[in-house]
Amino acid sequence: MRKRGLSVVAAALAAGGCDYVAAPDPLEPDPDVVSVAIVLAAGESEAFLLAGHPHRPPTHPPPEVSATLLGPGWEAAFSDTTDLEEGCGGGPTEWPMPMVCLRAPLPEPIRERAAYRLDGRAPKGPFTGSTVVPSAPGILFPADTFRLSATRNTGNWSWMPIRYHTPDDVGTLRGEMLAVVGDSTGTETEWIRVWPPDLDVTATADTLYIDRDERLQRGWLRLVGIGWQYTGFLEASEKHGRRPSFGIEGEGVHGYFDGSAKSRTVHVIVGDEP
Amino acid sequence: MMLTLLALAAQQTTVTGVVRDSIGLEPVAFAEVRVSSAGTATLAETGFSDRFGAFAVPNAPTGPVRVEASALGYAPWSRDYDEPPGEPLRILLQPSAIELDSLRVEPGGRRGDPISVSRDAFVVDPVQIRSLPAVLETDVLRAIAMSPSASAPSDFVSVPFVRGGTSEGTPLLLDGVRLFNPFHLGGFMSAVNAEAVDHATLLPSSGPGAEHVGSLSGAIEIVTRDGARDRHRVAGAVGLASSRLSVEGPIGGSASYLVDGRRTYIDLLTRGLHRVGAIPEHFPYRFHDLHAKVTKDLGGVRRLSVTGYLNSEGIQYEDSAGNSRVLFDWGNAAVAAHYRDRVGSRAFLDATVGHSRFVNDFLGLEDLNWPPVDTLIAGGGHMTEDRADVRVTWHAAHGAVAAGIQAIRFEGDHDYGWSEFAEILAPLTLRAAQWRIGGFINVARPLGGAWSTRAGVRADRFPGLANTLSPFAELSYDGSWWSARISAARSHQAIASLRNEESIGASFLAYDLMAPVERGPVPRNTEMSAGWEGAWGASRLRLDAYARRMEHLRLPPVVGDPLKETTLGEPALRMLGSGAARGVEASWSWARGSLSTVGAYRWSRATRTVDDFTFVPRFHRAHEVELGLALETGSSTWSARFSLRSGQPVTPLLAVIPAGRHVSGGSNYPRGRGIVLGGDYNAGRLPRYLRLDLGWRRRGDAARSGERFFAPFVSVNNLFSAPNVLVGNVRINTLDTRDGAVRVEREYLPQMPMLMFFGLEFGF
Repeated sequence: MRKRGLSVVAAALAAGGCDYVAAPDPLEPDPDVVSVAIVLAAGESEAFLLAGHPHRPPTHPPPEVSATLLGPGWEAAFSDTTDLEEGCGGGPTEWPMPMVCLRAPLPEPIRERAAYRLDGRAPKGPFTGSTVVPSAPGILFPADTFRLSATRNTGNWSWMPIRYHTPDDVGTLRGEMLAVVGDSTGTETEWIRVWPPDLDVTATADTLYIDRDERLQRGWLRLVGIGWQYTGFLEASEKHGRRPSFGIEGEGVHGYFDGSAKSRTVHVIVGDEP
Repeated sequence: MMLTLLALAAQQTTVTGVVRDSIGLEPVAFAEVRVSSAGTATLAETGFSDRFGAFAVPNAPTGPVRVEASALGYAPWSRDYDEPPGEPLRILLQPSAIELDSLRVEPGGRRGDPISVSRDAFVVDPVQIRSLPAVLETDVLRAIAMSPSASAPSDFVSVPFVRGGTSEGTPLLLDGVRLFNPFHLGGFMSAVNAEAVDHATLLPSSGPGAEHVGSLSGAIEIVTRDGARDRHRVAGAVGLASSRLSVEGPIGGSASYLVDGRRTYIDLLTRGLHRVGAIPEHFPYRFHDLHAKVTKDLGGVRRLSVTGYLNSEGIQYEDSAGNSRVLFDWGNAAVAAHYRDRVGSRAFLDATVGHSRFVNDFLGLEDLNWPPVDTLIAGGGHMTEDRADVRVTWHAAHGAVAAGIQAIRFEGDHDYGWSEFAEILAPLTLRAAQWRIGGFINVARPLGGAWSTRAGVRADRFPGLANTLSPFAELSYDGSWWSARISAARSHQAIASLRNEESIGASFLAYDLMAPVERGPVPRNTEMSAGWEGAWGASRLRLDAYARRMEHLRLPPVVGDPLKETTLGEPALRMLGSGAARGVEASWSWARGSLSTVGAYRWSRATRTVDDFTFVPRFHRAHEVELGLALETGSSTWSARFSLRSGQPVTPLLAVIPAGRHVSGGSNYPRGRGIVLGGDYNAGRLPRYLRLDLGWRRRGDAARSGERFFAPFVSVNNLFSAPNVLVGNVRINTLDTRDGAVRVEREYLPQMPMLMFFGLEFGF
């Protein structure tokens, strides 16, 4: 009986023994992980996929990723490699990692509220994705044109009141403005900063601050609505419990797959009415 | 069954009495008393003394009898009587060195064997407490954590969590009254002076043996010593952080007193070191505790004792420029009175009344002038418990019956209007009180052969909330050298904690703010357990398996990072949740010559479920091994404590993935924004925990034999400075150059490093 008792203890200790052997550190970053970022822009006839090795130095080669976008009745392969800034410029190209921007020419423009899927393969295996492109947000005010005072309100900023409508399928709402700037030597266009970086999707009005210098002559401002999968991804660091899907599933592949849609544009003119 | 027992009882003789130490006249608990027919020793009945030294041996033989008593650390006692004595006996046991099956027991003390005296519990006495290396001081709660049922959530918190439950479900009772937050230094050391402890009992179950508590996860019952009745004695200790002193002695011929206190000098020490430039900051922290007990022996088993307890802690801080002031004060006070009498020839009556109050008062100002520029923290509150408890334990010829009634009122009043210490305490306002009127009865009786059973039920009324019924049943078998049992129990508790055990602060602070459950359902625990124990000579092994489910718990939702979770507060965010735990425990004790060992191993699984999300709580460890060794050489006692535990849960890192803005024009993330993607919550495991403590002390056994003694002690904790960790976290270190990789840095908060403690115990 004594032997049996000791055997039970020994068995229990042996069963737990693996616990006491140094296990891999669960916080150790896996260098083979691949990041994937795709946001399909409604109205565009091409799609871009940014893939990278986020845990490797940028001098390393980018991951070998192949993927196909499946739209309503069609398939389009991400067959081209394009310039990072040109193709994936809105994506996380500032992150210092080996990365590649893949382009897929599409047979038709991306549609709002349409479902898209993704089939791909990364070094660790296949991955899939699915998303529904959200509806476009609406600008209720200003109307077609808004006139900014020639003098800036504060520092480099001029502000513009805005009222807007956010569809339920939009989780992130941002403003963007293409400006015409110039002086006596000529003009050019450039994207300028709009603040706040994110508008409250539960609100209906706010004030936009436009980062401008004295060269601003006019511009076009619009709102971009991005879906909830991307929004959930941005909040993922704070959510350690149940986590929503970010649109990408696959061994060793993490990131987001979502869509965006743009509002109408408001023509912004600098200077008082003549 | 009760009527049968009553009828049988009328035909039997019951021998009752009290077992006491022959020198100090203090009660001797867990003594075995045997009444046998003088003619034939085979006709014998046995009883055991309770925590007040009282015993009852029913069904004693008629005619000439021999009464024998024995207890570890005492010489055997026997007397012959012509008839079984009708009046209570007074058995005085003489401390003596004895040899029992190779177990050497020194005069003046039992060698601690926490699993030998009660099958329901893990019992530590001063010998066991001193047989472990001191952590700052000898500490009763750290000794209890040797039990396989108990697990301290970190090196910094001495409060044990029991069988997958948390501290609010395991009340600590001092002489029958509940103490709230009975510890100092955030929970690092208990606030019950080891000098005053007679023994401390960990009840790991809420079933057999703990029915009178009515909690979710058992209880810790600390019984303090009666004062010596032979002469006045002084004992104490001088340690690194505090000193303690106890004075005890007789009051007249039948009463005794014990007064003991402790005061830290951390504030004085750090002030002095700061003044001479040895440390950069003065740590203005202070604590003291005071305990007093008066016991009146009313003859036979009758006695009356009154216990008073007071502890206080605080930090009073002003910055060097006089620009801010923080005043933290907290502490508790308790008083309990216990009366024991005999009812008829076979029953004991115990009546206890008690009051306990924990108060805290926080004020932090940004400016010393009035009005202050800013308020850092402001608030305070209290927790109060008043209780009255009457219990009758009736020793029948074939079994025993215990019945009692209780009235308990708990009040929680917390008002923290502002706090910039958001990780510790969130603003909250809560004031509520709850009555609990309860009654319980349990019966223990043999079934024939080696089988016996215990069963009971507790009924509680929580006015305005619910009525609850908490039954338990146990079936046991006693073999010649082993015994086994199986039991099932249910218990309820209408007090909930405001702690969030998922926060990192919970690993450093044991303090709890509790509140009555104001709306149903009442939290409840349902458990099943099976146990086996055996003894061979000086070796003893106990095995237990249990499975339990805790329902209707009030838990915070799991949303965030342990480093950002608030430790206390946000009662409005509490949700109905549940918990489950199951495990296998083994504990053993062994002694030969001057070497003794106590050990424990535990495997368990624990989960919590909140909002349909199930996870492993952060305090849980799947495997734990504890081993305590004590070796006596000459006038020295060497001790070691070895701990090997699997790592605590941590959410594994899947990846750090960059996010883009996906709009044109000026990025708000100049170097990109990294999103730390964790895997399943708490699905990973931190590195294993390994620790070896060593201790040496000069033996102070002369204390109880009345001699003057000085016993220095030294201990080294975490001898090899093993890098045990409490929590892990990932931090992104973004480099400025485009060519450099983003560094994902892993941060680990360490447990206790190698530390040395020393001090001197004395007595005269």
